[in-house]
Amino acid sequence: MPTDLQTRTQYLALAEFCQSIIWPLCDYVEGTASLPTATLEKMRAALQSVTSGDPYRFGQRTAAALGSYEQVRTLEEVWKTPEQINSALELTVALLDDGGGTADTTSKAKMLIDLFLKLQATALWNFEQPKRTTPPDIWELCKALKTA
Amino acid sequence: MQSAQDSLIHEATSLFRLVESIDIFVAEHENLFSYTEATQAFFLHIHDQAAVTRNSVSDIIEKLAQAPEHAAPRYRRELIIHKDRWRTLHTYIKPATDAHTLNLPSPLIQMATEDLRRIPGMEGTAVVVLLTPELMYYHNTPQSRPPSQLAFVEVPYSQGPSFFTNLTIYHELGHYVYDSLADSYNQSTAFTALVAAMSRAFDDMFDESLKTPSTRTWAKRVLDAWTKEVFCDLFALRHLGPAFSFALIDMLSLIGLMEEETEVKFDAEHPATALRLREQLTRLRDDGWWAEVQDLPSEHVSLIARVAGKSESDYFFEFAEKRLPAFTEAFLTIVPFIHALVSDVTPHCKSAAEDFSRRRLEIEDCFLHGVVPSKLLAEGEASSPTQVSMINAAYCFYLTLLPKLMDKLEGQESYNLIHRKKWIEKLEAWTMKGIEDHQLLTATAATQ
Repeated sequence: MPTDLQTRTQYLALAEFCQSIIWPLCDYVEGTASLPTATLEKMRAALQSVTSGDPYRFGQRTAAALGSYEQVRTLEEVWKTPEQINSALELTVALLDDGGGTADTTSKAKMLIDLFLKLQATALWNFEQPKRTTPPDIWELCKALKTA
Repeated sequence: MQSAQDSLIHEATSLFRLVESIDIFVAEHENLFSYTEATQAFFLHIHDQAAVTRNSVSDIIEKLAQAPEHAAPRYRRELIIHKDRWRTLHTYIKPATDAHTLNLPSPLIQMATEDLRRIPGMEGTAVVVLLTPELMYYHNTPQSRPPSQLAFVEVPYSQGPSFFTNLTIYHELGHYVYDSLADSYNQSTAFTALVAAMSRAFDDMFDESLKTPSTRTWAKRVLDAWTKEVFCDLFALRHLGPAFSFALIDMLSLIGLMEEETEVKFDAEHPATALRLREQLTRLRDDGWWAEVQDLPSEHVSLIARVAGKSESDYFFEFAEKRLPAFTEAFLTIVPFIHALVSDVTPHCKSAAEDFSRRRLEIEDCFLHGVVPSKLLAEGEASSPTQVSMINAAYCFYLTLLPKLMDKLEGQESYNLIHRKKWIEKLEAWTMKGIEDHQLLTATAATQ
């Protein structure tokens, strides 16, 4: 498949991942479902892999959300600082710890929905726009390789 | 002004119609043409997906009717994702319907399918060919979650029925094999050793100073992409012998990628041609092929030797106008592990060169007399030349003996491109017929 289409499908996979989080959380907030702990666990693992700095694993396919360069780059575009990614992770962990049922849990769920709606909007926009993905930070790369 | 609900119903109807028309388009082609079993399985998947989408979209509209107005954006997103899935899938349908059996080198696809099925865990694999408008071969992974045993390969539409350049599909199938090995719950020792070598190479290249997750991801992906490319080359080479290297050279030349100034250049997706040919040469030597072809009076052979002989110190990887030598140095530590993995995955290819050594001259003799090499086939499989021997003898003949055949024929001049093209096509047809007959014979023997 030509590279641009391959790249674009990575954005779609990210948008689908967001959708898989947003819907169950919306249902929880509306009181029609319990807290989607399995989904939150999956999200926690994905976010932890980003905050640890190594979302891409050798010898594993990057079909999972937050594994490919395009997906991680989109996440960094939307949540511009590491603190924002951390706060999304903290919210997820807090929700899992709460276990649901309190007003505080509902408000945390709403905050998380907002974060993922923004991420999804950008992922869908990037899928829509056939532009080249922003290249990595070459300055940081050279500095780390001491070739700057 | 339309309400949010009306607008959503309008969009849902458009999607419904699109899906319906694709579904009908596929069904019409199924009635008109003959397709491989693999393509038929893909079409079945499309029909299933169409039914699922039609139901989902109807469901969305039903839920929307009962939901409060503020819930509309949520359903809109769901609808957008469905649309985008079909936008992606849409790009697969026409290339798949174009790839009916008259447009394909069917014996080669059959042979590739049988080779894939020899690999443990891939016994049920089938190859779906897509005829692409690009002048390039690709491995393809549709995002619509097709049955996992379907391997998708894009072939330039202009090359569909031809034979020699299509040998490069084995490289693309290598991508499928590599991905399947990565997906396996029970990864082999050779695969885990390769992964460990990649991790080591990356850790040695970067200390903790490379922090941004996306930059780390990008750097890893570069090493991963190079690893896969070399794996795919060697996977193809193990199955096809030097014919794969020759086909690769022909394909790269056709698209202008065999220029001397780019031979040692790595890009973010591919290692340098020099390294690729060097590893192929190593493999050809180890498997006994090189001794058989090294004296061929062919430019392809001398090109392999010359380009493979380029010094490692000439290799370079340039990105955003910066040279990053650490990447190529790191990658070189990974290469031996790729060879080990390929050997581990393809033990059945070990002795292919021996058969070629024994049967080459008689196969070439068939071609020289305009005879399909099927005449060498015998009921007992052991006494028949293998398909790989036929392919390699045909390629060697194509590179060196075509003028000799043409000189024997009245009115045929080897420097006349129209005449030459005609005899290349005949040679390809004889080879494919030989392979097809071999497959028939093997299938018959298996049922007895």
